[in-house]
Amino acid sequence: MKTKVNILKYILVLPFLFAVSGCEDVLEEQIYSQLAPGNYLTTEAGIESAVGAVYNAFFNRTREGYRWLMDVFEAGYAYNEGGSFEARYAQIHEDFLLSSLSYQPYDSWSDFYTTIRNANIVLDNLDAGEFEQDFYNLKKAEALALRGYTYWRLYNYYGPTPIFTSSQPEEDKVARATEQEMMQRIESDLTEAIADLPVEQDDWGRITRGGAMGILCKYYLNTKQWDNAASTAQDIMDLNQYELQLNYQDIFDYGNKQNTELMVVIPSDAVNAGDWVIQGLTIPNDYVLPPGIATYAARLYGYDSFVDSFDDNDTRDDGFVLEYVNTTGATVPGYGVDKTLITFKYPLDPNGNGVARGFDFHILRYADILMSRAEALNEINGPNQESIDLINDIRERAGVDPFNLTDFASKEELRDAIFQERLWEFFIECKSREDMRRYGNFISSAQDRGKSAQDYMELYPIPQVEVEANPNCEQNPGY
Amino acid sequence: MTINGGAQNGIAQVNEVERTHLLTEATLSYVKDINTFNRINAVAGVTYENVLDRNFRSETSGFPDDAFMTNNLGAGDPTLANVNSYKGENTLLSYLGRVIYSLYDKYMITASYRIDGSSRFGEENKYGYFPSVALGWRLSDELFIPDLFSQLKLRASWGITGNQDIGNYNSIMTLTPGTVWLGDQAQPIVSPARKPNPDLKWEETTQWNVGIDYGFLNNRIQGSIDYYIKDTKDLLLDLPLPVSSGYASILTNLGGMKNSGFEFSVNARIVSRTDLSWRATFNISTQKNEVTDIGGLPSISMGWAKLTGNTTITRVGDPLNSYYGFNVIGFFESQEQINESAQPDADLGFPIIEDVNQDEAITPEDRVILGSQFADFGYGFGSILTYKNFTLDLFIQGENGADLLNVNTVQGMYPANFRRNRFAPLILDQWKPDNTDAAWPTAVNPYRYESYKVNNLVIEDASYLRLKTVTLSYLFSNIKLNMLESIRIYAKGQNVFTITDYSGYNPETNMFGSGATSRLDWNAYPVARVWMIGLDVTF
Repeated sequence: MKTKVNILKYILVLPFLFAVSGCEDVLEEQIYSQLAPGNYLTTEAGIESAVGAVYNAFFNRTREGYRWLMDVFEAGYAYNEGGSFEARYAQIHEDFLLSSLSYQPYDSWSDFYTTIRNANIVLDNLDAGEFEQDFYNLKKAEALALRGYTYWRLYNYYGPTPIFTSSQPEEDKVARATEQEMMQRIESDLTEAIADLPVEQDDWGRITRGGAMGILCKYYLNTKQWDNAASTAQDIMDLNQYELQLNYQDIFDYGNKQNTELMVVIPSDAVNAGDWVIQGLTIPNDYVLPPGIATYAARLYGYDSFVDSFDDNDTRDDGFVLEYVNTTGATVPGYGVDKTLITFKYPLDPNGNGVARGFDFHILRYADILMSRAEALNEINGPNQESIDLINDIRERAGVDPFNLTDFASKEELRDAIFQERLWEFFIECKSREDMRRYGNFISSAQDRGKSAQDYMELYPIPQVEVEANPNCEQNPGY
Repeated sequence: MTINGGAQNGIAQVNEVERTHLLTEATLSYVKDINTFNRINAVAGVTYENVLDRNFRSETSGFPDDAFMTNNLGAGDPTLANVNSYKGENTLLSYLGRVIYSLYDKYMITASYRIDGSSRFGEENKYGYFPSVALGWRLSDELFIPDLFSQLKLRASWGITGNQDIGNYNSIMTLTPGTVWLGDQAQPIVSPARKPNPDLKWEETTQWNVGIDYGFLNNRIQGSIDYYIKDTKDLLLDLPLPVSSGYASILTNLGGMKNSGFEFSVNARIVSRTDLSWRATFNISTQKNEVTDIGGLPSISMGWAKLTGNTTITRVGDPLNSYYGFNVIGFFESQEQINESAQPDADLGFPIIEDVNQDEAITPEDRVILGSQFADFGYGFGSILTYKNFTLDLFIQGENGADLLNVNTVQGMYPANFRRNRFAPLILDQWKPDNTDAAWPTAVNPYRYESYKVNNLVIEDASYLRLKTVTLSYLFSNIKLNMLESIRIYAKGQNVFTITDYSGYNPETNMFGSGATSRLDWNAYPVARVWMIGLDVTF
């Protein structure tokens, strides 16, 4: 009995003790399930984790998968049916109905700026702490490469946008950069990164010197800096780090995932970091799938005209499913009714887990660099033997007849052939939008398909929430 | 069975949530009758309150059989297991003092002062200081008041209260751990949990109140009348940030708002005889909400919902978080009408959006305030009628003037694809060439007008009157049977009927809870109408 009373006394006295001692610590917030930045980001392990967060934002597989499909819809060689993203994403992009309230402009803007924020956290903490020079250089280069790439993607989608180079900016309502500032930022981030990045990284998926050079090369190409594009492509070839796979299918083979054609990838793993978009939202759910593999309601169908465009000998359309016997034993027609299944360019993942596949997003592969040099040289000199040879490397692998220099009377003719070749080579690889904009038919071809596309739609709208929270950020004209 | 669950041979998840709430109060009170006319009652104290949240979640898949349900996670594939736990804590430390002084039991003054400390605020702003003063005058004890009043008391008060109803850790930077798939393995990552606000402090509301407690005819009729004004400053708002800054929002003290209104209640014993009695209560309260300051910003758009985007706006002079969107003024009936409109790409039956700024294009600039989330007034009526051993007891409740955004309607108007299930009226009464006075636009290709999702068609008047409960009972009293004293049998109905124009299941609903910036009806569970019969036995 006595003890009980005593305990009660202490409990009653407790608050008075706080009162008397003025004990401020009582109200100090205790962190249990998270970390405090101060003592963690001063260590190498902390910086590694912060760099990991840059990759993680860059590796947003769901949103990236959406972007890849939007790229298909906007190019118009295939279309979507069904699924919850039919009206919210697919039809909006197929029919050029984007507004500042649509999903995709917001999703991309938010992903890209999260990547940039995380990169800036790495850069700020590297500078604030004390690290060994090699470690400092490498981590800085990784952060800069991903930041430069992300600014390039922003520029590609929206035109110049606000630039942040610090994680604690004095002002967070930043106006859009000028064209020149934006281009300088992209070039200097990538150039600085290239100087310190190693040619090979231990971890598959980390950015390498060749990867950053490839991104810079594509940036030069898309901004029509032909000389720079041609020379950067040559520098990449001189690295002797990359080669074309022997067969087109080898590039995408799950048994050959980390092959020498790949330069920048978003690595995936069906169980731990799967993608569910590229095949989960494209294959009809009455398609007979191996056990353990599933698919959602959305389907991606290729137009007959796209299927017809391939040469009979071309192996790049070998994955096309022109008709199939479905789960009930019925034959479902595809080709002939504009419903060819074109995603089987990417084989089914033998380790697929439900709707998730270990599908590595090939952000950049070596074939693109060869095609880029071929294109840049044609833009500089017109038809030339080197361009033809480079294109033929791609064509011959695909099993189609090589070109001869004499086939092309003008720069324009070779240009037409290059862009056609790029579509055959890179379909469903998120290249069409930028290719068509560079070629100049992004809007006009949509208009030819009967879409209400207008010139201002070359750029995406700035998301409405950005414009509302940041009055300094002007909307793109037309939206 | 879901697509994922089916393909993965079952997914089982166990979630455990634990909350420990510790409250310690130590108070000293002092009561002193100085003489027969003067009395003092004083209290001083310290209170300490601590809330500790812990949860544990584990999930795995790849089961040999469904029979295990969630009862044997170990039977699943161990390589697919997923385990999380969390712990968070917040603390309140308060010092308080109160003095009540009464003179002749007629004049009363109460003064109090609290210092509240909350762990949730910034280093320098943990404590809030909250004084209050209340005056009371029992008029019914004065000789000049007629005897008709059995009770009459005049009250006036002024006081400041604080609000700390926010999440933990908003004032400090913390890092959320996670993993990234790199080099064929999951590597650790950290990213900031939020944009911290080290200056975060108490939201303060200064309230003025005057009121009368009254009673007539030996308190057969009694009740109260009040008028209040609440001035809130340093509102705790999740202020949207430019997404380009890398953060979507920051919790901030910003601006102020004013609430004011009347409250009236009456409670009457209308009939009280041996065999028949009837008591009734009625209360009504009005509310006016107005934002007085938003820190110099022109407006704040908030209330983001996945399917709709931002749904609300906060502007000085308007109610907090007013619904904000496009105004549909009709449906297109002819191609000429379309050609002359600001929506040249529209089709017949598409909604005509009011071109508010008359720039011949429909852009987000054309949005207007479409409604308020605040009711103009709310009321309740209760009645107990007893005749001999029968009793009829009912309670009615209602609200008038609040609007509600029905996301189910948004989904019906703008289905994710045209095969989606949706509410029939949107299809049955859609615009067609032979149904031009339709209530809803054409359901053909709605994605082509889907930029205008938040519009006046999806925001509805959520006024309602509801019979909350009604009970009829019979009491067997005078039972002379051993220990049995009485038996009461009853039939009771809950939510018996609701009179409302609102099209959803429940005009009272608010899916994100009362503190949410946008009141939304989104797959909310309908309220159940319950009928019960029961038996109460008293020994």
